[in-house]
Amino acid sequence: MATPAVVAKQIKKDLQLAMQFYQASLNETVAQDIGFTIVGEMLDLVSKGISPIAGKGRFPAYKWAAFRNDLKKEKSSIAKALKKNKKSLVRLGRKNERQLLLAAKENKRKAIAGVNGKYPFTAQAIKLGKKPRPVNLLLTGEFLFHLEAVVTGVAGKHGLEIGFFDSRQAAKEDGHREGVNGQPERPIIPLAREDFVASITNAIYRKIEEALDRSNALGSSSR
Amino acid sequence: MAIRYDFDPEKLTGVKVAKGARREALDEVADYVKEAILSNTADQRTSVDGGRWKKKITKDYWKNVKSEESNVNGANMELTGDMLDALDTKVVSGKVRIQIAGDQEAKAEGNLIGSYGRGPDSSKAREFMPHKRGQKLSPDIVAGIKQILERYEEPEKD
Repeated sequence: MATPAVVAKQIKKDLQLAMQFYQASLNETVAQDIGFTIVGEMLDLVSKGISPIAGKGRFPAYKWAAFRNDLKKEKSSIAKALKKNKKSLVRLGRKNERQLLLAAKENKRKAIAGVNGKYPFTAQAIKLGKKPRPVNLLLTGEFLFHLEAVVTGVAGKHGLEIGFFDSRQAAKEDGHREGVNGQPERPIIPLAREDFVASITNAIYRKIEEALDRSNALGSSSR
Repeated sequence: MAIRYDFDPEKLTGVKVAKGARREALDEVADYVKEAILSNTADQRTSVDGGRWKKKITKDYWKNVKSEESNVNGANMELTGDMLDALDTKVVSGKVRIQIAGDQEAKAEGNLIGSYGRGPDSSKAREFMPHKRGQKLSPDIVAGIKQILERYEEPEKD
């Protein structure tokens, strides 16, 4: 069974009310322009590792990248302890302690090398340019390319749907939302009670105001 | 040293919010300010009015440190992401607070004053948030705050 498309049917309650209130000026072209604006703003934020969903902040790190960073910090702490205490460990004959630290450091090095065989480091080998930061959900670009805005409804009652209408890409978004394979959750389509971030809402209202200004200007000039 | 900045959005913008909507408005402003600072920082731009930002990083730092972790050859303040992950905003006593929490304070201070473990050097500073008395958020962020508050504005009395 194909996975249904993931869409944000409820853009934002008061935004929908605003759009309905101003319906006389919001024709299909304006609605599509708003849709393009939303998608553009979303892609800009995602490219910087920021979620377009209000309250979610930055995307969590790639699981193995975060683990590798922790290993590097631990290795660095061991190296500092070795350097700081080198003379005293040798002088006091605490050879075993020093050897334990050296062994721990080597274990960390091997663990780091092991993590290099996990994503996103594997992707670096296949596609040059994929790095742990920023966390931008971009590998080939296929997923983000399929983010769309679709105008719905009829004249006087237009709405917008933002989402993934291709089942393969919708499945990827489902995976981001659920955090499959132990990855942190990184959804980009607000669902249910979620909203877009304020900068996207601001951009939408600006577009509506621009449309109203044009409409009022046309109305004045025709008198 | 606490890296913290508090401001009153209504005083900053001159927009008076309806009483019953104040908390909701401030929460939205707090979320917006965090997102805006993160976005500006990713664009290697200051979020401080008149603030400083040293865009270039050294060739040595890029080659030996950053290029392994990131695609961005410039000062976007993100290597492991720990410092930016520690950036937080919240509503405190009717104001919005921007802060860097916990063990990232020293790193944040180094970037804000251009010290990086040595003495302060304003030519190397990257002011990603206001941190000194008298500083303000950048005009683009203030405009965004104003736009949010206007949606909750107190109706004019006849």
